[in-house]
Amino acid sequence: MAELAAPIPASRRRAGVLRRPVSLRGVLAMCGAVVLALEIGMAIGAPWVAPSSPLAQDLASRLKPPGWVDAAGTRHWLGTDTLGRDVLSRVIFGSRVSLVVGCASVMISAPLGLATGMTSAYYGRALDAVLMRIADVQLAFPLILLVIAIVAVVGPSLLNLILVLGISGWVIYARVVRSETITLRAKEFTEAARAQGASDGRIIFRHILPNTISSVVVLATATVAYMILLESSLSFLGLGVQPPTPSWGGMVSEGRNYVSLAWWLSVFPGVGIFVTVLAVNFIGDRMRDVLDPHLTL
Amino acid sequence: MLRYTLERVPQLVIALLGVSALAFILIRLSGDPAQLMLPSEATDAQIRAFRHEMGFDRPLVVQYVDFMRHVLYGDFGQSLRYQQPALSLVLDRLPATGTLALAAMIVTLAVALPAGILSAQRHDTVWDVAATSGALTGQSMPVFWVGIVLILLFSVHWRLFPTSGSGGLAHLVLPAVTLGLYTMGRMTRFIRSSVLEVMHQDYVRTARAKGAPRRAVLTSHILRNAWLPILTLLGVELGALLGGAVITETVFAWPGMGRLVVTAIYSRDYPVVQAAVFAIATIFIVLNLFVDLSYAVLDPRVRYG
Repeated sequence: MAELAAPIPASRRRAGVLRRPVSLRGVLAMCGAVVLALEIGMAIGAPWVAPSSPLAQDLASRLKPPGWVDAAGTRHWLGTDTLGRDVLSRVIFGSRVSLVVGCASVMISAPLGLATGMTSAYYGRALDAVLMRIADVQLAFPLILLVIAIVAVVGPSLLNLILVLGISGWVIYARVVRSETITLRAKEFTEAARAQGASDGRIIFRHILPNTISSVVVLATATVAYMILLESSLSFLGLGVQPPTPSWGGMVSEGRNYVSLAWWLSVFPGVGIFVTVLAVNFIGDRMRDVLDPHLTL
Repeated sequence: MLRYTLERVPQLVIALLGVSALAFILIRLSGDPAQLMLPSEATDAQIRAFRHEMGFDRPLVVQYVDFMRHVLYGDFGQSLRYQQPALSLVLDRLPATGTLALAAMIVTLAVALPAGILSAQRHDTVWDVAATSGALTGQSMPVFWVGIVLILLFSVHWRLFPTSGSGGLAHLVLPAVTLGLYTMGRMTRFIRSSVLEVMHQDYVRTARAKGAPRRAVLTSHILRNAWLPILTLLGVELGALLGGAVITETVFAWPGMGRLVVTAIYSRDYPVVQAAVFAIATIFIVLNLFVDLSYAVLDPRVRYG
């Protein structure tokens, strides 16, 4: 009887089918981290990694397929484009735009949304009502349409892209942080701090902020992926970084008129976007599992 | 129910006012709208004359009041390119975009519903990881690239579907799949988490303990409750599809609102851009109102809460 009643050890309960997928998600996240680290390294070291200059034209070598070797003996692993430029070199340099815009825009939107959401929830009343109505209005627009319209007016440039994407992305952070702050404000430890005479600033920075950071980190990771997609969409529409500077979205756009003739022009830069976003998403997915399993993205 | 509806109306009005204000601010972001709308080779005299003709030389508040008065009548001015009322140009293209968004939503649900339910029912198994990773993969592909790859494979290589344009059902397949792919990923993951949450409720455990058949537990207990949050996201996603249509319509030369916006941006036809932004945002807001109201119909807790 005693043998039957003995509890199954936790290690055995978690073994087998239940355990495998959890580690599989970890493996996917690890793969994502490795891919992303390689890409960042590639973007930083582009002048040394790329086989040639992304702007070097050779009209005699236009639209050559992947693997083609030119007269000088240089192999063009991903082929050449309509101006004879090396596609691999342009893909390598193009990663810079995507990574910079993706990360920099989140560095603007996350603190902006964090500050807005926390202030809105902590001080409540009229300020909360005004800020949340502004959030409602912005949420009434599909983000991509809003961003396209604004960039079309202010003009396409790397800085404008970062600013527009960064400023437009605050809402989701503000919403999440606001709801968390409302809960945290009523917690015993916040009440105790207030009873001890702690200032608003101390309560916010010492007690509320540390408890909202994990959600913000999870959101930020997911947003980097989305911002990279948005940037590439804008570049595809001609509203991103302007030619001849290579960007993945712009390269796909340039190649779409030659899709039946030179598929590699559109396919490879698209693979670059896909792999980067997938890597970030795998990392974000795992981080959500670990840091904030209740957050629905 | 009436009280709930009446409570939502002021929010709708505020959102619409905000949207119209944003449409007004939009073309003033660059500083001088006259310079923005005219070609770069326009002379100073031409710019001055245009500024006066359009009323851009009046105080901003006067301009805004005038703009709002016109918006109330659905008047966003004449398209600079087509010389037609901007809003009617946009509304003429609404059915095409609506058809595309609806088709994309059907494609999305056809995949996301079974995948999300399967993933939740067999959660923490290889099936679950396959479904969620598949969903993440779908979410990671840029829409325009998917469109081009699909054209390359199904139109150029296998010649199964037309490359672009509109017409019969065959024209709709590739744009609908392209547009639906991102939403498919999001919906799969959301359906999974909604079903998973309900699956752990006490009433589901009770139903199982009573010996109710698996199918009955799934349809009568789990899906019936999980459906409500899914419906909310459905409204949001349908609106997002309208926005996403901007890219898809450009890739497939689909004659909808999205393509009109892009063309209008290229030709600096800002009355059309303003009208389209306003129209899409209004549809988005009204759609969400309907979703909220249907939510109240389906869930008595919302009505009486």
